[in-house]
Amino acid sequence: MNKKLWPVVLLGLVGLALIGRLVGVSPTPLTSPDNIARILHDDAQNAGYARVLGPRAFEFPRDHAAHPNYRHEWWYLTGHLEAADGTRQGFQLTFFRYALSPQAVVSTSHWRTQQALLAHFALTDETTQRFIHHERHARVALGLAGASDTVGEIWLNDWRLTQTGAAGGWQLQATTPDAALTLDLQPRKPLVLQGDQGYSRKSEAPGNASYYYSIPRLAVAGTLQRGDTQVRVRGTAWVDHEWGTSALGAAHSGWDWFALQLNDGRELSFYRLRQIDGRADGLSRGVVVSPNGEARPLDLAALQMTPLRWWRSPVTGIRYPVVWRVVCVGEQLDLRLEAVLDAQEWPGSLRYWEGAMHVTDFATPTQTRGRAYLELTGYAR
Amino acid sequence: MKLLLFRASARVLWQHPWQLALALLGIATGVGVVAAVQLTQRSAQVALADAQSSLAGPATHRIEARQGLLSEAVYLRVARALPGLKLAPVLRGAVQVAAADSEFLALVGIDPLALSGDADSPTDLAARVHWAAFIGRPDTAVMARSTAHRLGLQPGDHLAIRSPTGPRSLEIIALIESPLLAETLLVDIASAQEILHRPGLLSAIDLALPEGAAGEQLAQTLAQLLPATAQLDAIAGRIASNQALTRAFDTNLTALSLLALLVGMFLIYNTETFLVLQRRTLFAQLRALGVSGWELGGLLLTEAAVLGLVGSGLGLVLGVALAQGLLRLVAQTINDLYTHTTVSAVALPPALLCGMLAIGVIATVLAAAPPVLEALRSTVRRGLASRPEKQREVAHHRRCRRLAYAALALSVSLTLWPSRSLGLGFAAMGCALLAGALLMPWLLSTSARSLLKAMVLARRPAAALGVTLVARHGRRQGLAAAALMAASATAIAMTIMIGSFRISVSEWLSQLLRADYYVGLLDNQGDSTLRLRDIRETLVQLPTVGTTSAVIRTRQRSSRGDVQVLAYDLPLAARAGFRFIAGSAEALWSHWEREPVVMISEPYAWRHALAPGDSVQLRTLEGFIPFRVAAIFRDYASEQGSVALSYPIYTRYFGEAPLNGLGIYPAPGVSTDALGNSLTRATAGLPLRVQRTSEVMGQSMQIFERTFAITEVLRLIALGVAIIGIVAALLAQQFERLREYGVLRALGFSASEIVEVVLSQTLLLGVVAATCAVPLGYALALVLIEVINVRSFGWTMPIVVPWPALGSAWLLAVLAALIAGLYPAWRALRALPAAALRDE
Repeated sequence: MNKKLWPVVLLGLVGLALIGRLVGVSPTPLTSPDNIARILHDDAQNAGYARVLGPRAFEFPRDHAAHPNYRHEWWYLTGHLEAADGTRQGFQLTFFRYALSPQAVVSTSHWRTQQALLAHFALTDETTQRFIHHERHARVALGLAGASDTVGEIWLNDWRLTQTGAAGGWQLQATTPDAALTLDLQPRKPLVLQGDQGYSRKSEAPGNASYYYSIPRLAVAGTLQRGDTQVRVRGTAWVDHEWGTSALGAAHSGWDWFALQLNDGRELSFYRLRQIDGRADGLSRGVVVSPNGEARPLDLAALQMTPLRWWRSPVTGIRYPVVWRVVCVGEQLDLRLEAVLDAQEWPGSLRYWEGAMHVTDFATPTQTRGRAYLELTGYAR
Repeated sequence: MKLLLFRASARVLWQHPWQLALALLGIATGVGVVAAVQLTQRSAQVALADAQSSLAGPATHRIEARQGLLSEAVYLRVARALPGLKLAPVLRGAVQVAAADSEFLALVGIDPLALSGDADSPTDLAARVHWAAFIGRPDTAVMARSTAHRLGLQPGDHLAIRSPTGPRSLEIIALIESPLLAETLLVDIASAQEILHRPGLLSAIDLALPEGAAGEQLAQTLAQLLPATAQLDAIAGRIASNQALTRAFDTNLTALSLLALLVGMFLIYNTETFLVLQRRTLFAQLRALGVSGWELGGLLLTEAAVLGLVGSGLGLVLGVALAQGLLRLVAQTINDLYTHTTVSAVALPPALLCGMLAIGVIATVLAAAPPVLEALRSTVRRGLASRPEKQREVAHHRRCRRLAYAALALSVSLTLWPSRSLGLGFAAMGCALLAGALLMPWLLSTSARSLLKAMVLARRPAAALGVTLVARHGRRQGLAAAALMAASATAIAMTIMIGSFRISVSEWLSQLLRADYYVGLLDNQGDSTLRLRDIRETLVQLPTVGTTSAVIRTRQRSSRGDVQVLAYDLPLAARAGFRFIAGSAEALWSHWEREPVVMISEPYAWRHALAPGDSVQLRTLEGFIPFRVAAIFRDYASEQGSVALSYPIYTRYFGEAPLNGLGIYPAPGVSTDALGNSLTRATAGLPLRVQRTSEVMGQSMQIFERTFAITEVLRLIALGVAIIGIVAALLAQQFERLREYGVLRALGFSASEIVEVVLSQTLLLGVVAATCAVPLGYALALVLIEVINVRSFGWTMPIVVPWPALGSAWLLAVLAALIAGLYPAWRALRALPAAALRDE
C-alpha cells in the first residue's frame, strides 16, 4: 500500500469510529403498553380479592351490575349498524373496570378510590373505510365515573351504558369530537351462560376463571351523529359481561375471540386460548345458539379456526390474522371471516385488534352468511 | 477518453494524499459544524415541546384560584359541563424530610389517569409507574432517581416525612429518570390531599384546548363556567418565553454555523486552487491533445462534487457526534432558566441530513468554480511573463479594495437603518466581515513590502525571502489570512459582547439587591399553609430587623396580552436600586404609592414601543384601566419584560395577593451576620429559603454563566474549526513550496535559514490577520450589542472591552499561524536537495 495514504486511512478510521459511536448510542426507552394477557395473569396482585372457584347461581338483573370484589370486569358491546342513508358501521363500546387495591381506605379525599375504569369506543365505517377509536381512562371518584353494584349502570363522563330491564335491555350513549352514538338495545334472544353454567375456566389452576354470560342478539335502534349530520341507525348487537380475579395461566399468550351472527338466525361465539407455544389450549370454549334460543356448548374439537391472511400494523408493527376460515362440522358451517377494514387495531394503553367482519360462505365467497366481531389479543412479541 | 480523464484525476488525488485528506477535512469540518448546529436546534425545539407536555400533558391552559387554592367543586363543574375535555388536577405543597431538619421536598399530587387520556402513546409516566399501587394505596410516591440516590432510597423503601398532618411514612414505589421531578415527591392527588391536609382543594387544573376558533369558543365557555374566585389563563406565557429562548439560541447558533460554513468553503476553495494549479501542465497537454475546455471543466467540477459528497458524509457523522455534546449543554441551559426537560437523543430528520449533504456538495462545487475557470483561462495564456501577472495582481487588489469600501458602506448603513429586523443586523455583520476579508490580500502585500526593507536593513536574507514570498503570493496567502481574521474577529466580538453583558448584569444586580437577606417560600406556589405575610410580621418584631421590602409576582391580562406584573412594597433605601433608562425617578416616586403609575422594564418598552407618558391597560377588578408609564427601568430578569407598580396601588386595583418574596434590612448598628443568625433562629423548621444577598447574586451570576456556556462552547468550536482550516490551508501552501526549499538548500541556505523562510511567512500572515481582527472585532461587538441584542432581547448595555481576552485572542491567532509553519519547516529541513533538484 502506498505509504503516503496514511492520512486518508486515518481520516477514514476516525469516521468509522464516529459512526460506531453513533450506532452504539442507546435509543430512548420505548414505552411498553400493558398487554391484556399480562394484566390478567398477575398472581402476585390477587391476594385480597374474591376468586372464581366454581359455578354459582346467577341472579338478574343484579348480575348486570358491577362485582367490585373481583379484580376485573368488563362489559363488551359490539354490533353492526345500518343507517337510513344506506351506510354501514361497526361499533364497539367497552367498559373495563379494574380494582387498584382490595382494601377500602377511609380518607378525607374524594379522589381516594379502589377502582378505575378504562373505556374504549370505536366506529368502523364500511363506506369510507375509516376506523375511529377513542379511549377514556378515569378513577372511580367524584361521581364522574363509576359502575353501580346494584343495577347495570356504568359511566365515564358522558359515555354511559344503562340497563333497561331484567331481560338484558340496554341504553348506550357515547360522544366524541367526531361522532356521537345513542342506541337503544332490546334482546331478541335469552341470555346465554358461557362455559359451565357461566363458570368459564381459563386454566387448570383453581381461580383462573371468570363468570361470563352473553346476550347473543339484540335489536338496535338509535341515532348516529357525525359532524353536523345526524342519521337514524338500526342493526344488531352482541353483549358480553365477564368478571373475575385472575384469568389466564402463565403459559397463555392471548386469545382469539369472535361472535358470529348468521343470517339464518343462529349465533356462534368462540374463544380460543393461545399458549405461548402457539397451540390452542384445551380449555378453549364456545357456544352455538339455535334460532329458537337453545344454546349448545362447543369445545376445541368442535371447531377449526385457520388464519388465512395476516396484516401488519404500521403503528405498532404487530401482525394480526385478519382473514379466517372457521369450520364447525357439527353445525355444517364452513365460513370465511374477513375484516371489513384491516386497520381496526387499538394501539393505545391496551394493544389488541377488535373489528367488524364480513362472514361469507367459504366455498362461494360471494354468498353472505352474516356478520361478526373478532378480537385478537397477545400478538405483540 | 472520458474514462482516461477521470483516471488521471483519481491518480493525482491518490498521489497527493495530504491534499486529499486536507480537502476532505475542510469539507467535513464545515459541513459538520453546520449540521451539528442545525441538529442541536431541532432537538432543542423538540425537547422544549416535550418539556411542555411531559407532566401536564399537552396542557395549553390552566385554571387557578385568583388567590390561594381552588375548590375541587370547580373541577366537577367543568368536568360535568364539558365531559370531553381532558382535565388534569394538580395539588402542590412541601413536606419536610424527617431525617434532615432543614430539608424540604416539594410534594406534587397528580391524577395519572387524567394524563393518559385519549392518546395513542401513553405518557412516559403512565408506562413507567405501576400506578395501580400509586393510586390505590395511600402514602405511595414516585421520585427522581437522582433525588432518591442522594437520600439513599431504593424502590420499596420508606421515607419518613413531617407533614401538616403529622409524621408519615411514604413508600417510594418507583424511581424515574427525570430532572422534572428533582427534589420532588410525586404522589396521587388523593394522597396529596391527605398528606397536606387539603381535602377538597386543588392548586390548579391543567387542560388542553384545541387551537383556533374552537379553542377560543371553549375558553369563553369555560370563563363563563368559572366562579369569580377562579381564573383561566393560557400557559402561553411559558410557551412564549420558551420561543424567545429558542429564538435567542437560534440566532446565536445560526450566525456561528454560517461562519463555519464560510470557513469550510474557504478551505475547499484553497484545496481546489491547489489541485488545479498543480495540474496546469497536465491540463495544457490535454488541451493540446484536443480535450475541450468544457470537458476539462466538467471533469474538475465532477471531481469537486465527488470530494464534496465524501467530505459531507464524513461531516454529517462529525456533526451528529458534536450535536450530542451540544445538546447536553442546551438541556442544561433550558433546565436552569426555563423549565425542566429531558433532552436525551438527537433527532435525526432525514430531510435535514439530505439537505446538509446537498449543501456540502453545492458549496464544494461553488468553491471549486473560480479556480477551475481560472485554470481553463490560464492554460491558454500559459507562459506569459510575470509582469502582466503583477499588473493583474495590482488590478485585483484595486478591485477588492473598491468592493471592500462598498461592503463597509453597506454595513454602516444597514446598522443605522431604523428597523427591528434581526436579519438586517446579521447582514450588517456579514458585510463588515466581508469588507475586512476583501482588504486582507492588499493589507498583507502592503505590509509585506514595507517589512521587506526592514528585513534587508536588518541583514536577514532568509526572513526577507519569506516576506517576499508573502508579497508575491498575496492573493492566496491573503485568503488564508482573511479566514483567520474573520474567525478571530468574530471570537473577539463575542468576547466583548459577553463580557459587557456580564458586567452590566453584575452591576445591575448589585444595585438592585439592596437588602441584606432575601426570604422566599420553598415551594414557591403561594398556596402553602405558610404565608409570607405572617412571616413578615414575625420578622419585623425582631430587634435585629430594621425594615423589610416585599414583592408580589403575578401575571395579569393587559390590552397587549398577558404580562408579568410586579408589586413592590419598597422602603426608601430600596428605591435607589432601580436605574432608569427613560423618564425621571422623581416623576415616578412622587406618584408611586398614590396614583396608578407604573414603571416598565426595558424589554417591555422595546417590545411594545412604549415611552414615558404612554399608558399600559391592565385588567383590574374594575375592568381595564390605564396605568401611566412614569419611567423605564433597566432589567435583565425577563426577556418578555414586566410592569412594576407599588403595593398599595396593586391592592387597590387587583385585591390582595400572597407575597412571593421578602427583603430584610438590618436595624441600625446590626451586622449582616447578626441579622442572619437571628433570621435563621426565627425561621427554623419552616419551609423557607433564607438567603444572604451575596448568595442570591452568586446564583444569578451562575445562571448567567450557564446561559452563555453554550455560546462560549460554540465560539470555541467555530474558532477551533477556523484554526484547523487555516492551519490546513497554510500547510497545503507550504507543502507546495517544499521543492523550492529543497532548491534553496542546494543553493546553500542553512537549516535555520530555511526554517526562518517558512516561519517568517506564516508569522507575518498571523500577525497581520490577528492585528486587523481587533478593530474589526470591536466593530462587530458594537453591532452585536447595539443592534442584535436590542432586537433579540430588548435590552441595552454599556460596552466594556475585556483587554486580557483580546490579548489572548490575538496570541491565539498568531500562534495558530506559527504552528501551521512548524511542520512544513521540519519537512523542508528533511527534504533532500538532490531529490528536489531531480524533480525540478
